[in-house]
Amino acid sequence: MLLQEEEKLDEAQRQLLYQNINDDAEWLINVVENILLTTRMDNNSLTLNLQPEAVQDLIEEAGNHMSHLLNGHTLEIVPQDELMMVEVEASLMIQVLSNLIDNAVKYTPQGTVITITQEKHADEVWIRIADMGPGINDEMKKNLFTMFYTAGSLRGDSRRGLGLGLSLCRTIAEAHHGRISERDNDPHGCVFTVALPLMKEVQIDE
Amino acid sequence: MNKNMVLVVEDDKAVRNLIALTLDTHDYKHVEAQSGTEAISLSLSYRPDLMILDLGLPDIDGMDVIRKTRTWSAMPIIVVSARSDDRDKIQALDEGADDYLTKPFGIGELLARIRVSLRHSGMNSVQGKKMKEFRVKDLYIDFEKRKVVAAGKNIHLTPTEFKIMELLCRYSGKVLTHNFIINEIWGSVLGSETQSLRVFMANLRRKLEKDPTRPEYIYTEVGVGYRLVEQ
Repeated sequence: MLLQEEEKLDEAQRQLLYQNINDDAEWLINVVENILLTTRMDNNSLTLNLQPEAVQDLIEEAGNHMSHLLNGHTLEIVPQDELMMVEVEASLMIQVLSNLIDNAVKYTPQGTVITITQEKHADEVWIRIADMGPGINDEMKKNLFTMFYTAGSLRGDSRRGLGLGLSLCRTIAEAHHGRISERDNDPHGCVFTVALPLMKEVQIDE
Repeated sequence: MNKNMVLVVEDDKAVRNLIALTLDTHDYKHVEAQSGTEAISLSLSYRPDLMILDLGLPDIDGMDVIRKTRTWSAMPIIVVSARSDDRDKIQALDEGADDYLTKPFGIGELLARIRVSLRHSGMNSVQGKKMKEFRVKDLYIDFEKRKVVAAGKNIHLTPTEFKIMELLCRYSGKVLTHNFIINEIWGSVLGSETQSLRVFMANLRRKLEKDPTRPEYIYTEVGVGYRLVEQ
């Protein structure tokens, strides 16, 4: 359109097209990154670049990534007084959290709230992404973490997922000696929990 | 008319055009190079005020360009890298680059990085001139009186916290890698300092930020380091 008929468009229409190009490009970048990650994961020799990171920082960064893709949803990050540290490859873990937030956005109605919490459980931290959407039926639950699985009824060109997300998330969590699980939210919706080993607290001397 | 000359080193045509266009529309002069060797020769002939250097060059390693340039020039270098390369960025910064941009970046970010880098190169921050005071938004620090005020309230900082703030303020707007901060504050990089630094930064955030989950002073560049808001 822009290449051939630009003069026929007014400013608002052009802006709309620019925005669409931007959105498409961003989606493409995400897809390619996911695919690159998958190939990296397939080799059993996966070397992670582990660094100590604050759980709060990871959650915030994921929130930032997703901020303009929230589509009318509200993201509520519940802060924690206690500083929790994990040993992760930051960009990977942020991708996991972003993926989970993205799923919550895609599969719940506009205007609903997505809540992210972090809790200490023994020597683990549990990062929970909870939504109040329609939830996941038992059939879908069985295949949730399978590569390329997309919730069938929501297929259609407007639902731009590739189904790579959850399988990749699980692989990354497990590579970090953690795990991802899903359960129903009360009274409805989903809660995805990413469990990661906590780093031992460090003593500060001034 | 801005008299600053920027050397753009980028072999990706689209990115190069974007940067060139941004520079043109904001009154910067520029020259373009598409390879490391071209970059080195152009920087010698044009003596630019700043270099924007893509790390994914076709001929020589971006790190080599940084190292070679640093043997004769302190010109600010902003590196541009692909999204997932944390290690590259950190290495570049530790080798002498001043800041970084990750593709895809917006022109606001590009201009801010250029502005901050030029400001600091003119100010000789590295010479360790003692700052008297620092003020941005609702944060005010008097370094001589060792007083910190945030949103009207007096804040008490521990000696190390104060040292860290002083460092961040000296380089305000610029990213500081974990290694850099640890070296400046503790003098060396052992194992545990990395974690300690995170704890110190978290404590600083808690003391200074109105909402620690939405920081407006201390930004975390995850995987790289920290940045204090531009003055």
